Amino acid sequence: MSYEGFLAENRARLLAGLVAAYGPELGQEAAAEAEAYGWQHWDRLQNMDNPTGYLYRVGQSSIRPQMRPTGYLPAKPDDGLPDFEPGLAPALETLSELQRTSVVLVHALGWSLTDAAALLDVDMSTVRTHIQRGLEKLRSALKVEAHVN
Amino acid sequence: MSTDPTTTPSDGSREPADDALLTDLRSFGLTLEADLDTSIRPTATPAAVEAEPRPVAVLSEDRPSDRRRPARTVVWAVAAALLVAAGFGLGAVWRDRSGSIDSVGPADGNTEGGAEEGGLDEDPAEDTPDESAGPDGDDGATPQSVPAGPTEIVDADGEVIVTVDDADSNDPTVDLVVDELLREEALGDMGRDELADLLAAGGLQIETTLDPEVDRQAIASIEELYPNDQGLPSEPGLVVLDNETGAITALSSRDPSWNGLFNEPRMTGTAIKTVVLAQAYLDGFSPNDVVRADGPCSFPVGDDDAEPLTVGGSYGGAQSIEAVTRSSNNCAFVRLGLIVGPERVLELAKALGLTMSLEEDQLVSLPLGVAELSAIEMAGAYATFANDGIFEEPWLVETVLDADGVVLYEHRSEPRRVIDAQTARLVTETLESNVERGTGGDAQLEGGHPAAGKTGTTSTFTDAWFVGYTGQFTAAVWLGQPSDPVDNPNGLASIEIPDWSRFGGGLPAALWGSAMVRLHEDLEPVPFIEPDRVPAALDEAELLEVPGELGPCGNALSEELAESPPTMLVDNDGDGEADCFMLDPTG
Repeated sequence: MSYEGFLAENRARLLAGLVAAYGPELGQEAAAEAEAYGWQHWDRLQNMDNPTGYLYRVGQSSIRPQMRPTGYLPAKPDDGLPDFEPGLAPALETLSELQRTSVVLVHALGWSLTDAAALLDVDMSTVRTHIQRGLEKLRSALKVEAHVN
Repeated sequence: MSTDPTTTPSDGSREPADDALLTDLRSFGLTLEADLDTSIRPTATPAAVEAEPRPVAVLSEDRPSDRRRPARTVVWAVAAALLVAAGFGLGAVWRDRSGSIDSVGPADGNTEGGAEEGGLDEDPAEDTPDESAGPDGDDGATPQSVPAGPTEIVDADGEVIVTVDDADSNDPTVDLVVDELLREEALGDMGRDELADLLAAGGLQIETTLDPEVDRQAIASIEELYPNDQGLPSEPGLVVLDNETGAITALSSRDPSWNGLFNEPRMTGTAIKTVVLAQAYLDGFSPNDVVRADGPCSFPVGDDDAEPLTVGGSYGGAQSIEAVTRSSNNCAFVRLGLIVGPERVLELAKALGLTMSLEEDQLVSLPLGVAELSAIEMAGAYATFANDGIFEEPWLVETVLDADGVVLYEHRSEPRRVIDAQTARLVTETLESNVERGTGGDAQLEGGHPAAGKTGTTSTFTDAWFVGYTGQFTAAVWLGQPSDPVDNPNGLASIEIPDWSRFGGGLPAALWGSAMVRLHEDLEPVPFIEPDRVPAALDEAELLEVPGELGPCGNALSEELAESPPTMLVDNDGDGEADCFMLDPTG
């Protein structure tokens, strides 16, 4: 398969994962780095079982030094798009990266557990666990005003 | 609006609030995409890499992970063996074990193989190999002598972990092995130096119980939950014991030089409370007995001049022993320790393999975990509760063979009963409730495997623990810094890791849970045995009294002391003025 063909099939998912992890701005940068890497190393990558997962990790590595601790996910709905809880983005940022990426890939962007697991190179049950824990944390964070610790 | 994901978590755990959250997440996803020039959804048209728009993206087929597929060679070996067994009788298969499986062809083919093995006509019994044959000889000849040389320490699969060719080896695995060989007097009564020399030149083979698969699973969990790409100095480590045998099946950490830490004493923090708990149950207290849980609390220490021990981290009035375990309430446990007697707790700890030496004036604070213990010791103590009160010292050396393959030493189990089964089951019940509803919540396992355990957090945040067990395994997870840092005297508190990690209930518990889920994947759940019911032993009024307990702060207010941080001023009588102060353990 050509690299172009591979990208056509997998680019959306790769970008989705990196945007879920790091937000649109950094996520796109990470995806660009990963795709460039893929161009250079396609000879080696095409023989791997999961080149998309590998490129996802390339994207992660390229961007981590630049990560800001908070405020990289969009906090307000874009004009014309449905509203969502303002506390959601900050709450998502308190999740671990894997929890956030799993929750956003599956529940915000509609990817299947199978696709998410392949991208993150973990088992489906692991993704399920991350989602479960991530949702629990979100639920608890978003109810925080009603609850005094 | 996008379609619902096709495979949402299907464990039926939906609550009404979930729907609102999921709806918000979907809306959030739309906003996330809004800045991009391409869609990032499964059914969308991908951005054009080529000039024309392409049809709906076909996702690449998901292939099962390689690690789930049996290795091809194993599959063929099994198939070949079965064919041979069917065609030629078991004797031929047995005889063939010394050769390569490839030499045996399919039943309808390989007459050459058939002729060698004797086919159906030969008496299979004649093919049984000589039991006394050494590893090289399959014909009963005397074992060959090989020149002595370095010693190989191998894992449970026979793969070499470390080769010892130097008597001064600093390798931590070697240290552990040497410690155990000395302890067991495995090779006779010899000193450490002599043993080290023997290893370096004796050409021994030391077979351990370390299971590389368990290690792989543990490392996978660490990689997943604590990638540590910032290169922080704190790293987690796991010790895994097999409950049935007491064998150490894993000493897992990403830093190979870390192995020594499993044997290096570190402050246990509040994971030691379990020993206080056990002593209380031994004395006949019930999980429903009530102890005073409020804080801060102060207790006299040693003689009159000594600064009293003042403790925070405690909330609530009178609570049951089970409840204060779930919240790891410090004051309640110091009180409980004083009620049952710290010296007796110390004795029980020793019986559980915990070698603590505490000064007289440290006994009061024993439940707070100032004593230092190793991860291996902690796992061994907790495994006792998993094993209904029977203690076995954790071990990893299975056999020692000399250069000729002669067995010099084989491990012999020496379990001993330390507490009665009922007490062990009561402790288990309380620790199980701690995982279900207490600070150990992140350690819960899927698949119906019951789990019992206790967090340990030190007041200096230098060490964070989770120690627990299922029916099959006991594991201790420790997070901290491998070396005593001169540059980093405040330990974990001074480095930027997520707050979540500093407490035993955070990363250590989650790591424990994750590793245990992997280890139990193909196992049937083993339920814990329930204890008999124990009614409350004492009147509430009796248990509330702790001899000698001081008021909320043992220290009188003094300006000088009040200024040296970190301190917390306490207003005892609610008149708006500080009456005393206590050190603020959270820094």
